[in-house]
Amino acid sequence: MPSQVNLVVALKSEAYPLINHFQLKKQNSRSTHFPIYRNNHLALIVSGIGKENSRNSVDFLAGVQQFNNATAWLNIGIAGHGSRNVGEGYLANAIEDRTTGKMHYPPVIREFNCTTGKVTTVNEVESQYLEDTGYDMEAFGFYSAAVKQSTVEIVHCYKVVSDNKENSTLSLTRQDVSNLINTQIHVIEQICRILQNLSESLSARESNCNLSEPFLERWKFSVTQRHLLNRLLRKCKVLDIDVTIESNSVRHCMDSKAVMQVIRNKLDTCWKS
Amino acid sequence: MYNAIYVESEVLEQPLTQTIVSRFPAAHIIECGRYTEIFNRRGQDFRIQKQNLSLILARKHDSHVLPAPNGYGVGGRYNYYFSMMLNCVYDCRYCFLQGMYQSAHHVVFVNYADFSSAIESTASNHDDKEQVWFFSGYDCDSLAMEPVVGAAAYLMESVKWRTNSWLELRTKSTQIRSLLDCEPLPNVVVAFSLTPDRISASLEHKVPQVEKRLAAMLRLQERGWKIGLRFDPLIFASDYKIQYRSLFENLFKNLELDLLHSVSVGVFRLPRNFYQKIERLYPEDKFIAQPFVQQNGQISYPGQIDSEMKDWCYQELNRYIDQKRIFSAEILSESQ
Repeated sequence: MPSQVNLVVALKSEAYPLINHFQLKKQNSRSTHFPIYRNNHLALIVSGIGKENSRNSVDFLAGVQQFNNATAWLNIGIAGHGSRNVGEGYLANAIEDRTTGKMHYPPVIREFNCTTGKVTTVNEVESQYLEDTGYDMEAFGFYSAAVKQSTVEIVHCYKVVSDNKENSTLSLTRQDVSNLINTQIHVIEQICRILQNLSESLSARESNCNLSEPFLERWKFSVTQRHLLNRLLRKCKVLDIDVTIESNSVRHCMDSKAVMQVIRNKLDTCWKS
Repeated sequence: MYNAIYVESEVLEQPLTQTIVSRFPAAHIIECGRYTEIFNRRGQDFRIQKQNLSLILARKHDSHVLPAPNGYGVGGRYNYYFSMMLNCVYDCRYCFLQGMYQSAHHVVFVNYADFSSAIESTASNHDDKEQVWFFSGYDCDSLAMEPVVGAAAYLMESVKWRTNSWLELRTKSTQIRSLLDCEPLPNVVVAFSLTPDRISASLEHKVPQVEKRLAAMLRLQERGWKIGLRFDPLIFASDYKIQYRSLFENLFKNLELDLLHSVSVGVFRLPRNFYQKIERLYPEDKFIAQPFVQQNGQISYPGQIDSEMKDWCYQELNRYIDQKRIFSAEILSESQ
């Protein structure tokens, strides 16, 4: 199964630097509401502002993809901050929904080697900056939806500080937003690379490398038997026990039940070796 | 060692919390409400977390001491267990914690005094002449984190003056300094879990070599501490008799038998759902891929191997130590 990292951004001005850097191409999509861009391993969706939009965009992207829970998700966007300087980037280690007080705690992954901090998702643009937190409008919605799709270790939010007490959002232009994302593009690239590796290792666990295909072509297996066959063949592979449809004991089998018994018998030889 | 330390707001200001946090200056410190907001949530990956460990400092509100499962014990009539920590610094492929928890993060319940009170009140419910056992090391390794958490040293104070209370600290570690620094207690057993070196090297990642653990046991015995030996789980290998014989010989020729409190033996077994989860986490692992069998909801070796290993080990151990001090580590099911 191919590994995949899904990027979710609220604004087109946040998306452009990423589209350019990762050479993403716009995909024809059922939805005009959520533009999607992609290359072989990355997909980017523009959600629009607010946690509901962010949540819906995750659901939408997951719906159009055929990936499993090994798909990584990264929300990238600007945020105001109570103590950090404009231009600083950091990964969320705690995400609070200001409206409900609910929390998420994205795990801290050693390899990211990145500053981490809190993000508070608000409904209106923050102008007070009273707390030591990043103020955004999407992270909570994004995270709540994405952890329903994938393992939490590969769902993260990266925020770039765009405004604070000294620098309000009033003077912030679209170009400024793009520039801010651009200044952190190499950090974002590194995070994507690590997420892709994690996604690959998770996918590899699920993969059975079509071990059972030749068997399924030759004998008829029920759905339950297929799962069991896959499991038995994987065990054989791990234990270096050779089982092919051409081996003497297998090829004479009349039906699926007999095939599985032969494989079980072969596996049991491991207790003697 | 830890990427992040999550601290419940409730224990943030506790001196023990501050002491532990100060040991990890590079860790990201994250305040949280309850440890369950992070620990054991659905959709977590134990294997990735094991490579990205976080520490969670929390308060345990209730159930500090629980009755041990039926059949668990080393000769005492009343058996209890408690877990001041959850999860383990080691990474043993057969460990049930991988199947039991979604999270690999380490949880330390810093309200030691509540555990201590619970131990004391549980013991006081029993006659002074009864042996009431308290087992630590079920959901964690009792000593591996001792230099950081100092829990064992604290616990010993709870049983110091209670003649009916016995404490077992079970470990695979060599972290014995806190025990060497204090007077040995006659009602505390330091129990070491052991497998032969070759098996240990392939399955017990990060666990100290047997020789190092033996050295720790000898130092404890020299100081006057009682030792327990726990051959649990027994792991099958085609030459298991050679491997285990060599392990037993090495241990029993060196250890002082008078200060050997007990030996317990249990063949590898896991609840079926735990095993299935571990199989999904480590599908490429040769140990996990073995064709174990299921019986009474437990995954283990085929019956013949199971009973042959057990019988052989009991017989072999009997050459060194009387039967009265050898116990089964296998918990009895309700029907047994």
